[in-house]
Amino acid sequence: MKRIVVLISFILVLLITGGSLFAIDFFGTLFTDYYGDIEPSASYENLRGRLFFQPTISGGLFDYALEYEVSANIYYDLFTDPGYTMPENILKEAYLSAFFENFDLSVGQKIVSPGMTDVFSPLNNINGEYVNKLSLDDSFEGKRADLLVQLQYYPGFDDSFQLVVVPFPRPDYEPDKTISMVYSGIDADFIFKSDPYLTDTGSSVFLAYNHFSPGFDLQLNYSYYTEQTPNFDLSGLSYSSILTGAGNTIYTRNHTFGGSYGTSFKGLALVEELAVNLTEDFLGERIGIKNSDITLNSQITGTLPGGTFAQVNLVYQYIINFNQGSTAFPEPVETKLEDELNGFFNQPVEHIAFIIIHLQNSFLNDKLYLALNAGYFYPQVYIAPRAAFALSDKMTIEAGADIKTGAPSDKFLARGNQEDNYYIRLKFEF
Amino acid sequence: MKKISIIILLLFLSFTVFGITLEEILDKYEATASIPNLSTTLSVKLISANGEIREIKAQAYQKTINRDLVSRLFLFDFPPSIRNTGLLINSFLNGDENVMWIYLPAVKRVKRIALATSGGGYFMGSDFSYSDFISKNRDDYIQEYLGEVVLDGTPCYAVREYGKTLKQKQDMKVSYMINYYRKDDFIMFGRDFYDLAGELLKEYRVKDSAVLGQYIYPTVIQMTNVQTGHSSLIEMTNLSTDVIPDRYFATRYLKNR
Repeated sequence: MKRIVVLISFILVLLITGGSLFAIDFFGTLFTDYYGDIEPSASYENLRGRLFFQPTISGGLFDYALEYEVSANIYYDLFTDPGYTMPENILKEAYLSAFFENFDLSVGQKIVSPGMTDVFSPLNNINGEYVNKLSLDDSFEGKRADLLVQLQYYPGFDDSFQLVVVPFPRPDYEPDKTISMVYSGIDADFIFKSDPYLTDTGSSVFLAYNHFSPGFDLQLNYSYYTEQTPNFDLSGLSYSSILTGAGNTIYTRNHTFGGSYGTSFKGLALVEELAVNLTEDFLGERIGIKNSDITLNSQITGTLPGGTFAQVNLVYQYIINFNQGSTAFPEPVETKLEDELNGFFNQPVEHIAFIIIHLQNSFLNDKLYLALNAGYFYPQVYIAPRAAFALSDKMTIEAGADIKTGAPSDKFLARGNQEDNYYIRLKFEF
Repeated sequence: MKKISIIILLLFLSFTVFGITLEEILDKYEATASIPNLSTTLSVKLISANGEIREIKAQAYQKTINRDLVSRLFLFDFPPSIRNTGLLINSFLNGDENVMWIYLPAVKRVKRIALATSGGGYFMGSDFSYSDFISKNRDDYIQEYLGEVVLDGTPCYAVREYGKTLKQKQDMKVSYMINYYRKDDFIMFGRDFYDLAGELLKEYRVKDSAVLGQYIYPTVIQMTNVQTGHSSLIEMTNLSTDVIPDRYFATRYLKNR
């Protein structure tokens, strides 16, 4: 696998250094940012201080019979270890596309985003994501492109069918680590190990039908794929007066089917998205495997008085066969394990409901942009104000914060950033 | 009888001017401006009151798909923050709700949106509103002929235009407009927008135009917000009236241009 990564990195360096000489279009983003920890219960900490470069080369070959795009993420961080982009994450996307009368074909490492809702779309399951992002809406640490083949067939202007095959899926990215769980009756390790590409879980297949017309938009999806969030093999744990041993990350396969419907109504854009996700443990008997679920996401977009753009997402999720699992371990070990793993899978209760609101407006003829993301995840509230000021057509200064009420999770397997932060970013785009 | 004759005469004068009627003015304007297919390279300069200039560049395509539907496609090239963003607008002349889709390259997704009134309804931070880019059925508005005037040295016919309903006015944030149709070729040479309080809000002025076969199209347009001093200058180059394939106005082209 290391050879593949080295080869990809080598090709990328060649393309970026030599490519600019013959590229049709060379553009990118360069920014420096700083994140500080403002969690009230913790002391101040430097979370991140990055110099980040995202170059992109795109163009056409053979009189645009083929088009290509290659992009990369390269950063140096003053405060984290390691302080540079891991080799497997340097290549952001690299793909070739060919456009024919009735179909399009793309081959390469690419981000593909099915589903219609903008946040927590249960159908947006082709690509994994960066887990440790400090801001949930950070577009530079969003989805992680997969090596794939994408075929889209267009029988007419309004309809299309899409097939995506990912031969070697990429898991969510979180650095290899070992978490020691030391608790009453427990002294065990959980070992996180993720290869850049999963070569032994089988290919992922995604099918979609799309319809766009003035009356309504429709998408129907089915996928059989390797879930990018790891599950756990708990066979390495044993109990003899105390739980010891290790739980190891494994990757299992899901069936997901569902659809999205969007329409316009009296100045509003409405989207309804429904998905049924069936995991390898439909009966919910294995606590190391995520449960199946049904998710409904309703999105309403419109404009408030004063011209503020507003979007509301209401998400409901039902966890199938919740808490049906059992282990050979006594109490309170079993309950603690269940609690930790359910939290890791974002399945803490049987019925999950939350609301996310996004408001944005521009002032001074779009020079000043103000936005607010807010979420209510009982019992916590997430608030993320954003501001950006265009110093010029290419230079922007941005600032924001990510604040959650309540204390950070006390779970050993809590995932993602847990602490409040603020940031400032100076961005140059060319 | 004398009173009736005067009323008839006044009514006649209100609709005709030296042999031309309001209907003729509007018909001739539509005949010059209603280009079935138009593609152009668009530059919008945003000019602040202190002279600072920012710029938006896009490829723009417009096509009358049928008698009830006009489609417009904007493919943005500059500034870099909106590069490769696409906006497809379907405007219906039969009263159906206008539909917009935007392609966001950062997330590689086509999204149905309701942008027409967001950000104060202004197009990409300019002084032009989305309403200025959306075709309207003239029967949905009331027009009144005001007479001949000279605007910036150019003889014009002046016509007051306003929405039939309060909602139309509120949606446009305009109580009425005064349109100035150039006498020699009937293009809309100027338009003054009056806000809901009746104060002059914006001035639309054609700085240059091009003859495209039987059509005349403004190629340089300045819109000035007289209340803020901010103005926007649209410049169109590479104009073409060649037939644009219908596929340009489908979401497939929005993301795979």
